[in-house]
Amino acid sequence: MTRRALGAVLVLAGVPAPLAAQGLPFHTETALTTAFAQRGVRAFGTVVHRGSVTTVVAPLVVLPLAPHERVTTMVVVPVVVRRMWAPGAGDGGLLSIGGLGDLTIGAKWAFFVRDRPGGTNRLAVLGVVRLPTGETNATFRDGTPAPPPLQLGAGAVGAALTLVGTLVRGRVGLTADVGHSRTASADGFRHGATTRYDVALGFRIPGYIATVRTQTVQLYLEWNGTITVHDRVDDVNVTDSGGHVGFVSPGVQWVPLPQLLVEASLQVPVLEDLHGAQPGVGVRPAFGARVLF
Amino acid sequence: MRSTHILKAAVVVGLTLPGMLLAQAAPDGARGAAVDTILPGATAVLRVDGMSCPFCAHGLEKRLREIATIDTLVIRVSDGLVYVRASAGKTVTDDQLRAAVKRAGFTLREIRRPGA
Repeated sequence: MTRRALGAVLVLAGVPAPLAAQGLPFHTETALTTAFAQRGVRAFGTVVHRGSVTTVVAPLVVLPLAPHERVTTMVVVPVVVRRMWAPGAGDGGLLSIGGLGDLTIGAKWAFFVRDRPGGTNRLAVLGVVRLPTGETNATFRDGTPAPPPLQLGAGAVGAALTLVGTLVRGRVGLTADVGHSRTASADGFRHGATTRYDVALGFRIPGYIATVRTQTVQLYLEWNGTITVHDRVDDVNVTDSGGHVGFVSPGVQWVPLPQLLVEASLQVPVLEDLHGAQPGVGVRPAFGARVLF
Repeated sequence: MRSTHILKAAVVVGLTLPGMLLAQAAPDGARGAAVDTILPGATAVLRVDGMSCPFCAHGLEKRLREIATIDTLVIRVSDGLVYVRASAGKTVTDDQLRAAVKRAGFTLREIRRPGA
């Protein structure tokens, strides 16, 4: 592949990492641990278009145990499929890779709980560690190594700490989180540190829930923002990387059974303040399900 | 460019909010009903705070069903009430109920014993 084509590929730095929210809104974390004071599984898929890159991320979030009523643990196993054409590179510029991304393990602790009839006020802290399990040696069809942002894994350990607040009053819920994540450098490349912030307003139908078997629908309207600093190569900033992206994300959830939740969301980018020359961020559909057992 | 973004946001909000505003609460048929109407022969009624959705309350149901001497239970989620009936000739202690609610992550406010 030509250097020019590879340069075009590097512009794509910053293809977003998979979201792995554990909570009840689709993309926003929650301080609730009650839903998962038991074992559970959450699976969802997100389609991300950015420039000539299409990425499908399908994380499987396993909640293996709840050692305490205010603590839940989680393991996130992301399946990532990524396909792109490097502009001007011909057939050799095809990148098509798929497999497991970086495994994430974490725990959430609700350190403040004030329950009330039909509602609650909670604050929680969520800590996760991302392990470099994803492939980092994918190449284009012509054998050119794909740049780090296009690999399945970061190639280095990462960590994130998130503070979450949830307020539920009857049929209305408000959740907000702010978190910061960093990734160690690998082979001279360091992904830019990311600060993530989310706000989710939820509305439940019906307002009155007679029994545990009452079917409900939740409507969500979320704001999901990420602020990412420049990636760095050999301690030099990658000019065309990082920035501030914000999505408005309407979503709907259906709880047909007390142990099953089906959900869908659409992330619409409304804020794109990207550093340098980067491809725009597209609309991201997402859908999934959660099962308690 | 900025006006396009604002237009997108307006479309999203415009599509979402009417559904929220039009949604009405389900008929309130259970609130205030007598214990015998909801669970005849109930041996305990628990007032539990923090229950806000069936998905969350499911955890409480599971914990209570782990108590072998409970025959039947009914959870009125929005009322924050749990009706428990023990098996014939068996008892369910307050300590068992307290432990189950705590393990599910909710706050137990009161245990009433109808007929006691």
